[in-house]
Amino acid sequence: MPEQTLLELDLSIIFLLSVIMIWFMIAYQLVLALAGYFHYRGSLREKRSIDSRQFDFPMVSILIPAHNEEKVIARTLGAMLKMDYPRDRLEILIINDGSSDSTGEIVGRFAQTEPRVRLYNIPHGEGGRGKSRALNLGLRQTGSEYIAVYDADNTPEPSALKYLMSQLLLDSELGAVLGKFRTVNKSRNLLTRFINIETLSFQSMLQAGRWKLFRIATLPGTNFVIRRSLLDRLHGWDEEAITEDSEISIRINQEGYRIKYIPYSITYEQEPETWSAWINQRTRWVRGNNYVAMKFLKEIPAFKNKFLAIELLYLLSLYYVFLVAIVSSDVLFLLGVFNVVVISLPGPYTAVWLVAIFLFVLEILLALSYDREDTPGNIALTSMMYFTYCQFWIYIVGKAIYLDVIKKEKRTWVKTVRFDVGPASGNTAEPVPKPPAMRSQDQG
Amino acid sequence: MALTDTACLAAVKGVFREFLTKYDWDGVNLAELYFEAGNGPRDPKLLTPMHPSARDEFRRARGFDPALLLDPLSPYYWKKNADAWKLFEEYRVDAITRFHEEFLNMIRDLRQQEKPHLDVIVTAMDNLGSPDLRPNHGVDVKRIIDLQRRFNFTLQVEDPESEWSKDPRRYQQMGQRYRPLLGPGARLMLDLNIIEFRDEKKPTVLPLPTLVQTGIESYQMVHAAAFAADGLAIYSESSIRPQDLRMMGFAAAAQAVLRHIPGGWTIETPFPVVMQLPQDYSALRTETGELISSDRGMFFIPPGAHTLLAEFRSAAPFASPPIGGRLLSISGELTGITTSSRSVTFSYRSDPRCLVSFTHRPFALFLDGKEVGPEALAGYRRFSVVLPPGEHRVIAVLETTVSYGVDITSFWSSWIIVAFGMTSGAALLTFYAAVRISRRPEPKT
Repeated sequence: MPEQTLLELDLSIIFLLSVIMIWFMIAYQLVLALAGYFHYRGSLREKRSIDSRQFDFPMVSILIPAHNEEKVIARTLGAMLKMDYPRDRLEILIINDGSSDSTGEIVGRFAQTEPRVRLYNIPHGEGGRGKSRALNLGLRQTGSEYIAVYDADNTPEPSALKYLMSQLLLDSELGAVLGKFRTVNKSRNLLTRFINIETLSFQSMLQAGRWKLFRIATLPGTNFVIRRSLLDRLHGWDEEAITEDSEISIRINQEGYRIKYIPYSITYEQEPETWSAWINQRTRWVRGNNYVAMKFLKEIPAFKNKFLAIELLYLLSLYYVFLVAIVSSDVLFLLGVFNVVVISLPGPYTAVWLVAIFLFVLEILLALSYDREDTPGNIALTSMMYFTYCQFWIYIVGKAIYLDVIKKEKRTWVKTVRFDVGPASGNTAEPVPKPPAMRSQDQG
Repeated sequence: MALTDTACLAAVKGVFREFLTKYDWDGVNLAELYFEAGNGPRDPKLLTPMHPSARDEFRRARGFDPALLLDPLSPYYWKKNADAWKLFEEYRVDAITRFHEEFLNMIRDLRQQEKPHLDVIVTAMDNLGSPDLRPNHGVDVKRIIDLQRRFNFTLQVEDPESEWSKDPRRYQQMGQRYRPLLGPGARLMLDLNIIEFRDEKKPTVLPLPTLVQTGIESYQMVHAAAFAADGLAIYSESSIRPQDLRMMGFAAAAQAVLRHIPGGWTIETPFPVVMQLPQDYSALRTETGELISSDRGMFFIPPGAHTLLAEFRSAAPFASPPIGGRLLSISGELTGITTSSRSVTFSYRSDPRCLVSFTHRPFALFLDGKEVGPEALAGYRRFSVVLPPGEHRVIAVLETTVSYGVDITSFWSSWIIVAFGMTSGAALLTFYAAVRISRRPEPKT
C-alpha cells in the first residue's frame, strides 16, 4: 500500500476525530446556552420575588484587595458607599497590599469621614504576594458572618450586594453566591468591545447554563459573597493559586455547598485596554486553571458532585484536547491548501463549518440580548470575533502550556494593569467621587 | 531540408530522436512529409527535389538529370515527354515513402528501447480524392497504408485546401474510401482544417458567407468525420469560434441516441460518450444500481444501451463527495465500468497512455489481473494515474475496510452535526425572538 495513501488515511482519521471532538465541545456549550435562556427567564421571576420581600440583613464585610489602585479606588469606594444595604451592617475593608502609589492615602481620607470604610495596610514585607494572600490577611481583620469580595476597580450597582445576600439568607445550602460583572470601559476600543461581548456571553451561557442544569457555578474574582464559617472551614484561599476563585469554587462544592449565579446582581469592572495587558491576564487565567486542574485531577473519581467532575474534565478538555483538535484541523487545512496532503472525506463539511459560525453568532446574540447588548454593532463584532479574537486563544493556551510544562516557570500573581478612568460608559455617568480631603479643599 | 542527402536525413532523424527522448511525450504525429512543390512542373521554381543529391540519385537510376524535365529545349521536357515525367513522379513517391519508413524505423527503435508507450500517427494527404496530389507533391497514400501494415500507427488522412469549402459531408465519403483499404483493426483518423483560408478578393473557392467554417458547416464536418473514422483531429489557428468549440463535442457524439424517460434517460451509443449535465446532477445509475462515473457534471458512458437514472446534488453548502471511491475521468475510451463501494472495475482502450482520475488515492491497482503500482498524482480533490496504451481491464481499489469505515463515519457524523446545528440554531433563534418580544422598552434617559 503506498505510504502517501496510508499517511492520508491516518490524517483523515485525525481530522475526523478533531471535527467530532470540536463538535462535542460546541454541543456542550450549545446545551448550556439553551439552558441559559431558561435561567434568564427564571431569574426575571426570581428578581421580582426578591424585590417584593423584606429581609433582616446581617453584617457583611466587603473585602477589596488593592495594590497600586490610585487610578480607580476612589471611584470604587464611591460606588461601595452607595450600596443599598443597612449602613450599620456594612463594613468596607480596603486591603492595601503593599501599594507604592497613593492608594493608602486616598482610602485613608475616605476612612476619616466614613465609618463604614476601613483601611488595612498589610505589614511591610508581607504585601504584593498575590490576591489570595491579601484576602486571607484581610479575612483575619473582620468578624462578619458574610464576606463579600470585589476587585478594586469595581463599581457595583447599589442593589448588587442586597441581591447576593438575599439568596444566601433564603437557601442554607448555598455556600456562596456570585453576581454578574459588566465592562465599564467597553466603548474604549475594539479590544474592550470584544471583551464586553465575551464576558457577557460567558456568564449568560456557561455560568447560567451550568447552574440551571447542574447546580454549579464558578466564582469570579469579584462580586461574590461567601459564608465566613465556610471560609474558616476551608482555611481561606489557596495562596498557591493564581486563579483563587476557580480553586475555591471546587472546594466549596466538595464541602457539599453550592454556588449560585445571580445575574441581576451587577457590578461594573475595568477590562484590559491593551493587547499586552489582555494577554498577560488571560495567560494567568489559563495557568491558574492548569494549576486547579492538576490539583484536583486525582480527586475527580471521589468528587461528591459528579457534575463538578464533568466540569473539571471539560476544563481539561478545553485546554488540551480541544486545543489539539483545533490546531490539528488548522494544520490539516493548511496542508490541504498547499496540496501537501489531500484529505477528501464525504460529508457536508462546508455546512458543518457554516453551522459552527452560525451557532457561535446566535449563541452570543441570545446571551447579549439579556443585557440589551444585541446591537447591530455587537452582532457585526461577534461575527468578526470568530476569526480574530477567538483565534488568540490558541496562542494564549500555547503560551501557558509552554510556561507550565516546558519552561516550568513559577506561577506568580500578575496584577492586571489599570487604566485612567474616563467618563463612565457602563453603569452610570457619574463623576469620579472625590475623597473627603479634596472635598474640604473645594469647600474651602 | 534535402532529405535525399543521407547526411542531412541522418542529422534530421537525430534531432527528432533527441527531441522525442528529451520530453515525456504521449505520442508523435508524423505529418506534412511530402514535397512542397506548388503545381508540380507547372511551377518550375518550386519543384523539388532538386538538391544535387536527388539529381545524382535520379540520374544514376534513370539516366538523365531531372532538371531537364523543366528545360523546354530538352527531349525530357515534361510537356513533351510524359514518360520521363512519370519516372520522376515515381521517384518522388518512392522518396516520400522511404522518408516515412526512415522516420518510422527511428520511432520504432525509440519505442523498443525507451518509450514503449509512444503513440504514432501518420498524417497523409488524400490523393485518392484529389489525384493531383500525386504528381504535384509525391503523395501516394496507398504506399503509406502499406507501411501501416509493417509499423503500428494510426493513419490520419487530410484533404487539400482546394476541398475545404465543399460539402462537409465529404468526410463520410472519405471514410468510406479509406476504411476498405485498411487492414482489420487498423485505426483511421480524419484531419479537419478550420482556419481562415477563404479570401474574399480571390473567390476561387465557393462564395460562402464566412471566411472560416462556422456554425452548422463546422458541426457537419465534425459529425461526418466522427461517423466515418475512429477519431478526428482539428487543425486551427485559434480560428474555431468559441461558440462552435463548445458544440463540437456534441456534434461528434451525434450518433448516440438519447431519450428522456421519467427520472433519467435511455442512451444507445456505438462508442463511449461523455454526457454533460448541469452541476446539480450528482450521479447517474443504471437500472442495476451501477454507478456511472462523473466529473463536474460530465458522465462517462461506455458503448452500448443503458438506462440512466439521475441523482441530484444537494445545495452548495450541503454538497458532499459520495461515500466510496469513483472514477472521475479518463482520457481513453471507457469501454466498460462497474463501481462498488470500495473499488472501480473498468476497461479502456487508448492509443497513447491513458490518464485516469479517481476521487480517492488508489490503495492498489490491478491491470489485467496483475498488480501495478503507478504513482498517483494528487490534484484538487482527485488523484490521477497514468496507465499503459492499448486495451486493458483495471481494478482500482479505492477504499480499505478502515478507510471505508472512516468515510461512513465522516458522512453520517457530519450530517448529524449539521442536523443538530440547524435544530439548535432554530431553537436559539426562537429564544432570541422571545426575548426581544417580551422585554420591556428601554427606559428613556
